[in-house]
Amino acid sequence: VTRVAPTTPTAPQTARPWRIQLVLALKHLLLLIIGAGIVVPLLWMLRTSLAEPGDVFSDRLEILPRTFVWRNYADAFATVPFGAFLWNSAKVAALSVLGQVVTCTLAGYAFARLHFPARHLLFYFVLATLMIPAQVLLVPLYIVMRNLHLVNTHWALILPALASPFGVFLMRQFFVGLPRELEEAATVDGASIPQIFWFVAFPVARPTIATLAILAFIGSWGNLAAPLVLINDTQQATVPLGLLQFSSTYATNWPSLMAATTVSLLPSFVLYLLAQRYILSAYSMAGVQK
Amino acid sequence: VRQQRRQEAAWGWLFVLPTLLILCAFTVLPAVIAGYYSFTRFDFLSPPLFTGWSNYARALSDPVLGQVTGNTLLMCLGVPVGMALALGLATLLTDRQLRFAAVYRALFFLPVILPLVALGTVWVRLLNTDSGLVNAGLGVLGVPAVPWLTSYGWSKVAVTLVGIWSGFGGSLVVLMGGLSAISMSYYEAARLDGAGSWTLFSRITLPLLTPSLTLVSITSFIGALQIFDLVLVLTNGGPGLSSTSIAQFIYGQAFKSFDMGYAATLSVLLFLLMFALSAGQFWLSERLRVDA
Repeated sequence: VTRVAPTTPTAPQTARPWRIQLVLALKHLLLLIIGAGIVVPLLWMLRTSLAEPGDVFSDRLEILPRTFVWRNYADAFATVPFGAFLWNSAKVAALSVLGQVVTCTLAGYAFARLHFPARHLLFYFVLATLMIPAQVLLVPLYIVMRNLHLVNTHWALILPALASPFGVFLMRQFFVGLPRELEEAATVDGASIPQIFWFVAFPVARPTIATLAILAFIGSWGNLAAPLVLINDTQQATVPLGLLQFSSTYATNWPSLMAATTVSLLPSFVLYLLAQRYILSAYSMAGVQK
Repeated sequence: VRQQRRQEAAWGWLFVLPTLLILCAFTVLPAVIAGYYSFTRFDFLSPPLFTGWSNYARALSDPVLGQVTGNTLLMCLGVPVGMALALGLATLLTDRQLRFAAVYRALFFLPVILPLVALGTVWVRLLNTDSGLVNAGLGVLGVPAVPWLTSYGWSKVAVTLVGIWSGFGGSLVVLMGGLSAISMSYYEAARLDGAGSWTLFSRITLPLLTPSLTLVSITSFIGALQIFDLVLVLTNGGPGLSSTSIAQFIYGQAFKSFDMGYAATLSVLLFLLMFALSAGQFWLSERLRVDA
């Protein structure tokens, strides 16, 4: 038996041909330029939020403001009831997230595991509601809420957000992929269906539930159209609606406007820093599934 | 056993009930209501008056609707641009030799999860004709100041560009997911046959990526056709009607002119437009599809 000599010895990383190195460097350069296109606008927002009002209109481009004016943040909260906006948004988001976690895990589990009449039909029905775009529903949703006397209340924002077809899909996919052994063992031990759901299925689903909760929060936190239509009392406004009113009323006070903008971005940004992996995996899953 | 089965069915129904109730009340019912009101004249003051197809006839001959539809379709041109950018970056970032790919991906995706109103507000500042960073940067290159948000010609362009900026990261993540699912063995086999990189891309990557591309394309078009938040913040539809989108026109008809019947008609028409466009793309992708 003759041993075949390796025809191409694997070169160490450092000894790559210079052309490959050059191409890689150019790729990084391109990616860095586009990355700067994402980062610079956000940094500029931060910079403006800390500048003197006069500094904003200076002709010279200075990376840092001459003095850091933290007062702009206090001003933003004094000009408009921004504290109330934050509280309203937090309340609406918290209840929407809680609602979606409950409804989506229950429905996702049932569609994945339980046998009941019309199961497939109902699942397709849930998916079909994804086809109706939110913007199209805005006008009739207002009519529904008006008839329920819920216009100008936070319930008008929370109730429709208590269910999520995508959330049901996400949870169902998780439970479909879960090995049945644990649940079967619990059944042998005489556990009932709600017991199995609560003590066996729910705990193992925690990472997917976290993903669902994060996506629900981000959706709720950024929602502008629904509050714009359903809320007309400034004290009841959520952050996006408040920010829109702020920007159309006090557009010349750039530093406080940018301070308000920074505050409104912050929760989503921090959440993204902490849970980026969950968000990206849920997002790419939506693409691979189809 | 039969009782067990019956119990399971009962629990199953109970578990899906909350989702079904909410979806029926706040998605299906409004959709049905929109259909009904589209055949009426309704302003909240008096009960809806049935007017047959007259709202639809009015829509067909409404010059303003024609203009805002034109605006919206022009903004939709940003979709292929954003997709091309996302596809290019996705192929770059799935190259195994490239380091920090995960960092770049996370960075490009960032705007997707930030509130659009806030991003729009930032861009209002950046695109200001006299004191914005964009024109300051262009000035360094010797380009005269562009009236991004205040001129008839540029307002649509500005909205479209900010739309691409805030959305291409979403397409990128989905396309990278699709790319990483393509087996390397196809590429290796083709390379042995002497295929160049363009051949690899056009004969292997593109056909096998068709499902992901279709998904991205359909969802992006649906998003672009109902563009609302960005327009509202950036230009409020102006100057004049130069950047007013269909969704914003509907909003105005409903909540400024209190013409709920006509607004419902326009909502139905917008839905039909989106549905037709999505169905068309789906049909096209089924014809182009190559199963691995």
